[in-house]
Amino acid sequence: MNMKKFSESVIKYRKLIIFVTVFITLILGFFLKNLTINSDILSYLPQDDPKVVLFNEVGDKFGGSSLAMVALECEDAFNHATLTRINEITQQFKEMAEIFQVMSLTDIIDIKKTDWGLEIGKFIDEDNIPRDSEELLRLRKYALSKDMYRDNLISDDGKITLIIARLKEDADKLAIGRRMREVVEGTRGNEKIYYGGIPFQMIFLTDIVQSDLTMLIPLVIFLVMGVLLMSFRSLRGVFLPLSCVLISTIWVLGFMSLLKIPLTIASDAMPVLLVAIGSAYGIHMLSKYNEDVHKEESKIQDIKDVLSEVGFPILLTGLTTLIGFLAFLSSNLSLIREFGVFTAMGVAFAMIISVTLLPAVLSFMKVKRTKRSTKKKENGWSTGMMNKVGGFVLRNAKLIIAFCIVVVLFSLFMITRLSREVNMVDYFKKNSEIRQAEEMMEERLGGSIPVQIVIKGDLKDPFVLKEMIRFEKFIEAQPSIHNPHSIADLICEMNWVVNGHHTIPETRDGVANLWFFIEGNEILNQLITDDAMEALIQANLGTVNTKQVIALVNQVEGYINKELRTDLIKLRISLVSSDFEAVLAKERMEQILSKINWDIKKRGLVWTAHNSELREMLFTAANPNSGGLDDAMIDALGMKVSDYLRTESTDIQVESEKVISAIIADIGDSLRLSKPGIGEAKTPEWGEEDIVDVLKKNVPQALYAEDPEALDYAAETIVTIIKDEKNWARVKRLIQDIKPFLPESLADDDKFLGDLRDDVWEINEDRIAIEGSKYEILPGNTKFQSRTKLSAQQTGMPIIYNDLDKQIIKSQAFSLSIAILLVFLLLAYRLKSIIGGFVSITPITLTILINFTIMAIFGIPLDVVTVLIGSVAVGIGIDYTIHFIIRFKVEHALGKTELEALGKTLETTGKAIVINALSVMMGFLVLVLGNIVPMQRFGYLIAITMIVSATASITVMPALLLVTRAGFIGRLGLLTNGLVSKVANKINVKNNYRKK
Amino acid sequence: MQKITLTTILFFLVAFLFICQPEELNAEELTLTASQILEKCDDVINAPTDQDLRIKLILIDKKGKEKMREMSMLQKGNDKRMVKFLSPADQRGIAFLSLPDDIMYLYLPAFKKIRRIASHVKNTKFAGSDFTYEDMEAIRYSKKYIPELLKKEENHYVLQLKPREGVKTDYSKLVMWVRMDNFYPTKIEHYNKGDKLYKIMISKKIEKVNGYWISKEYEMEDLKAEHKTRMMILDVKFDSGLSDDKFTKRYLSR
Repeated sequence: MNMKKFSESVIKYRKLIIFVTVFITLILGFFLKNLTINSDILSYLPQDDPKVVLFNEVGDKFGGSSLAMVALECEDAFNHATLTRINEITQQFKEMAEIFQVMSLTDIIDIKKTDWGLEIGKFIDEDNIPRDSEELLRLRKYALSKDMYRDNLISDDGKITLIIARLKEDADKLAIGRRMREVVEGTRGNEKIYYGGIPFQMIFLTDIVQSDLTMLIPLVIFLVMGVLLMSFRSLRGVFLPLSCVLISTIWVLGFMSLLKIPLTIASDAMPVLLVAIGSAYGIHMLSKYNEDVHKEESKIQDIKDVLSEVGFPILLTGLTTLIGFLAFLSSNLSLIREFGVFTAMGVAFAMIISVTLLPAVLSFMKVKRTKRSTKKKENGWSTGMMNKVGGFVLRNAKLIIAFCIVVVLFSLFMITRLSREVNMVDYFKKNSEIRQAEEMMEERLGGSIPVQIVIKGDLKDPFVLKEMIRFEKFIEAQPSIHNPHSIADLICEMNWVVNGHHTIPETRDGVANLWFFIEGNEILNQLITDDAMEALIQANLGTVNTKQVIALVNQVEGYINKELRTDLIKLRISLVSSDFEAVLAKERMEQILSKINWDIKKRGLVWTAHNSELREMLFTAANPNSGGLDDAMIDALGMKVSDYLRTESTDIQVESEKVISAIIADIGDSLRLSKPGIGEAKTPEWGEEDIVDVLKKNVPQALYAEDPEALDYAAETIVTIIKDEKNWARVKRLIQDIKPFLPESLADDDKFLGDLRDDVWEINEDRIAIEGSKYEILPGNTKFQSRTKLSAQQTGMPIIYNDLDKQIIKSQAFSLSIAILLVFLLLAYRLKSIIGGFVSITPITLTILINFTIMAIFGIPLDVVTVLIGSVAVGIGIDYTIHFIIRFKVEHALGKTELEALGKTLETTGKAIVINALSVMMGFLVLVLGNIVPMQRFGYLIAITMIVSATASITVMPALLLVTRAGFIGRLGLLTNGLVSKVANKINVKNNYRKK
Repeated sequence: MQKITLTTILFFLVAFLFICQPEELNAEELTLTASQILEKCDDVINAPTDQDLRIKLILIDKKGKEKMREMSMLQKGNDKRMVKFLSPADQRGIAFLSLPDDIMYLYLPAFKKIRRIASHVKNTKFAGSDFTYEDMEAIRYSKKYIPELLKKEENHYVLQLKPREGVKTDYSKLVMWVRMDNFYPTKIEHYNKGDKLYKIMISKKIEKVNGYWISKEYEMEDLKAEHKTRMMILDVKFDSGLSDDKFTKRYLSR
């Protein structure tokens, strides 16, 4: 570009320039008020990413993946006032159209076994919140005994209770979150309130961003004003460069607002950043003006000259800065792209305004006399310092390079230890309300982040449900994951109520019968889709640590890929050949064994030592003939049969004690254990016909003469009773056998023994499923009953975090390499030397490596903001190198030796570099005063980076120039000399240099 | 001529009487109080001594997908009822028996077990429909609610029913449209505790069978869940003299 022509036009159209600038500023300034803040972490990810699509889909199908949680803390949540308050909040939340569902102590399904039957209803009747202390105590005990409530809705000390609201997918999370807070604050009570979950985190983040902006922008402006005042000592020196950055900031923000692009956690740093780095262009322009324009008469021509002289360096440094920011376009994360584009735009605006508006305005201003006396003094001081630096560099060039190599190697090692953090909670300071709420929930309630797994398959198929239970057991055995729950648990819960064991029923009809109880219950909406073909397993994640989250995501992914049985062949053991039977029995053993092992692992214990004994025991117990009863069991069975025959619901009402005893004796005798302890009965199975025979033999005919079918019905029921008793006998005996092998702490743990009972219950079942691939390799496998398939996909926040984490690494790698590559190409082209290119990018590469090393050493994680540091540092820091090299070339071209040229460059540009770096650093340090943790990190890391980069430019750079004797600088005198003479010469020159 | 006149007069007189009669009735109705209307409505609904129905439930979700349920229902008076599911296949045979004093038994054929279930939780949905157990109760409206006549619309009285003191209900109020001619309710709006309209029931196909008025199709819509249930009476027998035996636990499994 022809700078002369350009400066002519600027002066020619100066009025127009001023008018247009003011006009645009007014218009864009008007739009500033519409600028919004987007703190929705999910929106930062590419929306067509399959993980995001799935996440949204699940939210849609299962009623919202965004959970907003309100926790109430008090001495004991089970008091009338607190429960009333919970109810009030729950009711009001339920009224909100954007809330899909609310769960709390006063609105939660309860499946209860009672003395007389069962009850499916609510845990607490919202219309009748108990006052009676005994009743409250009973509720408390009950709640703490139930997995569904404990650690989920109520902490295990009964002090903290949660209200969980699921927001509809399309809800404005911010607005609804605020309204929810209002609701909570509108209720009275002494409970301490915590707010958790993404919607509330978003509110906090938005508010903090807003308050930070209103505090930090004036602060950085004030700071820059101070710097400008010190260097220019005039009002115009303060206000002209400042207005350049302010105008460009207004333009960018106005532009964003016009395009309806909200500020994000990354781009909110932009105003501070623009003020800190954008003022440099105006400063360059103005200082050159101060240097060269002295007379009012020749003002216009002088300004033209100034412009054509500084225009180019401003554009070049601006261009490299732009490259740094535009490199972010390579990222998949919208917040990083937006940050890059708009900051680049801001830099471009600042640059353009500095070379158009600034000279245009100056051309209308009177020329001022400036005193330059102070500069000499400064010169003296800083020249001394620079001389020292120069001397050091010259003496130790090789040492510096060697040191650099060590630093590089060390850095490369440290980079592998760099941690990453993507969790939103980490954005907040440790003592902030939201952070404390999250930590409380993590500690006391198993965390606020939902882990979700979508299961696709026929959910009324018992084998699909059984796979879900297995999966859940696996999940619960993993560290820091709690409370997995799904439709499968509800079915188990109901089976427990009906049949006394917490298992999935053996048959499809069994499942369907239990399902009937909860049909239409609103809790189903968050567990299954309407067609019962998709279900959600949900668990709470009790950690916010990204590393742990990712480890977990991988564990679960591993389970889905390796352990989960997705293609199931359903068989009946009683119908297969004996060879086959053994294979199936073995399969069953392994399934049961893994469940038991997970149940033990869940309790923090490891127990695999006795697996072989256990296999043996399971194998024996699974024998269909093993369900013999001992005397006590026979008595119990007798009681049940007798009860049945006496009740009003019986099919044949038998009153006679004698008749009943006779029936029981006939049945019981055959079930008695053949030898005590061995567990085999004489007659394994009682069929209905056999029972009919027994009844016919004993019951007077008159009792069923009118209703002959009654015998069959009665026999059917009695067979069921017998089968039940045998099953229980088998399981109880097995548990007794296993007990001695259990870890001591578990042998008397009723809860664990309950789990054990449920794990081994399968041995009673005839139906079994085996994986298709295993089945196919079995000989003689032609016949099978039927087949069912299922699949699982992981979703929920953890996988989103995992995705975000991957994207951050990718963004870091891409943007940084692109920035360095482009800068290298630009400089290699400008310097017409590839080596020149390499030498120039060395200081900044080193700086970035050091930055990562610092991050690794101090455990500062890469996050959505610190990921920006690399390219930003390249964009800004490379300027120092450019200034240095250009000056060095100029000096060298003037005929000086490289050492003299180096000395001169350090004295002039070197000093400028340090001053510039210090002032930019001050600007960035303002961010440390903000309240967003990643922004603070960004602030001080960039500040450190500026210093490192400036230091590297004046030490490593000259050392490199000396050692490489880089030809690109010009013809270096010592180029042809041998190594020895090179060193000798250098020492001479150094001595000379010192004498100066 | 005179004869004609006389006949004409006579004719007109008779005609007038005929025309007047309903008018007079209307006049009487106008003075009916809200309570009387509701009483009459209850009488009409609860007129048969027993009912033997075959019912089809169609559950319609917000996407318009339908699910079917078929069941038979025996009812004697308004406090004894036996419901048996006929379809879907895997729920066939599930039966439940409601007896006076809120006693309910459920039979699960898959386990051959009878369980008594609590019935005090009446806002539970019945078999996945939009009817809750409360909606299915055969209790007289006038026992539960205090009526107020809001207005008269074309052929309908519009009553507002507010629960009597001490009555446990999930609704803050009902608004009920009652036909003027036969006192059969055609539409009932259900308001939740926040006083928001949340369910609407519409009775369609109101017919007279064996001298009793019956609606052969009901539709209940849950506005928030965007879910609808159509209940169709496929077959109906009134006053067939159902014996008390049919309403016993023993009969649940048969």
